[in-house]
Amino acid sequence: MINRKIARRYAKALMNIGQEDGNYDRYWQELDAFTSIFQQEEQLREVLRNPTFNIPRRQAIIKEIGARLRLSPVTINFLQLLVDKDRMMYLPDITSLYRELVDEAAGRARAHLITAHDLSKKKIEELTQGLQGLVGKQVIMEVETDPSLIGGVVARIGDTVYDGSVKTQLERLKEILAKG
Amino acid sequence: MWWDLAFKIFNFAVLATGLYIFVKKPLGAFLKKRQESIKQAIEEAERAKQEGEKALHEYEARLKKLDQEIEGIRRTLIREGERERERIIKEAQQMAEKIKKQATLSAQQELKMVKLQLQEEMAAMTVQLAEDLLKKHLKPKDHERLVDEYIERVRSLQ
Repeated sequence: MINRKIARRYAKALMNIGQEDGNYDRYWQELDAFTSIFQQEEQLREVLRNPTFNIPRRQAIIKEIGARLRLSPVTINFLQLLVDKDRMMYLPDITSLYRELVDEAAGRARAHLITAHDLSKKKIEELTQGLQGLVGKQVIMEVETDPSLIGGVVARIGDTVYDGSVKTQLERLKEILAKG
Repeated sequence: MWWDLAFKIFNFAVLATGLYIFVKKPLGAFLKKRQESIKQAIEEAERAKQEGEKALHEYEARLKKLDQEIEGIRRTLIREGERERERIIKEAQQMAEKIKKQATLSAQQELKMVKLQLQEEMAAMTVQLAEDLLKKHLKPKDHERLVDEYIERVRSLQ
């Protein structure tokens, strides 16, 4: 809870800068790219979070990676600030919350769609349109396949879940039968 | 011979007189004292006898009374014993009733639990069977239909 609060403060700070210069979407893409590397590379994570490495050394590493990823100075400064304030461990949360802020500002929603089987592009398009009509925003789909659903789909937008999976229906059936 | 006899008689008379003169007084006093002592002893014996008889009567009376007391105590003890017996029986009956009730309640709860468990197991087995059948028989067309139904439901929520 406290972690989320801290992360939200940093995400909002970057969002303010992004809204001022109009580059919030670009910062999101850059932050997402850096966070992906940060989460994939354990060694990098260890170095950037380890206080035994001095701050200028860690900031230099960020600058080096930033240059290779062609990150904007704002994003590099933001990441260096996280090192300076010893907040690097919150980076995944900051990125996630920043994405929510960007989506909100851009008037779009992100839907996490889980399907039992691979869906055709046409069906995904139909689902996207259906969900867009439901939330009244542009919907960005993140599709995942999970055969344990048996059949149907589950979509999660924010905290709301639209569950149309056979697995859940069977669970409900089990509860009804168990109650008699 | 005669003279001899007369002399002896005279001697005896002198001795008797002497004795009478010298012994009469102390002997009389002694005898009187002795008489009084005997009399006193007789009186004391009489008194002791009376006291003894009195004590005997008292003891007899007390013994008689004691018998009554013993009888009273015996009756009281019997009565209390009866009451105690009744109380113990009543308590035992109440305890038996309580144990019976608890056992019935416990059995009912156990039965309820078993029923619930059976229902849950049956539900799990039924659903597992349904799941296996669905996995086996659901065709791509069915999956498409499920997605279409989902899209319809999403549209109906708008």
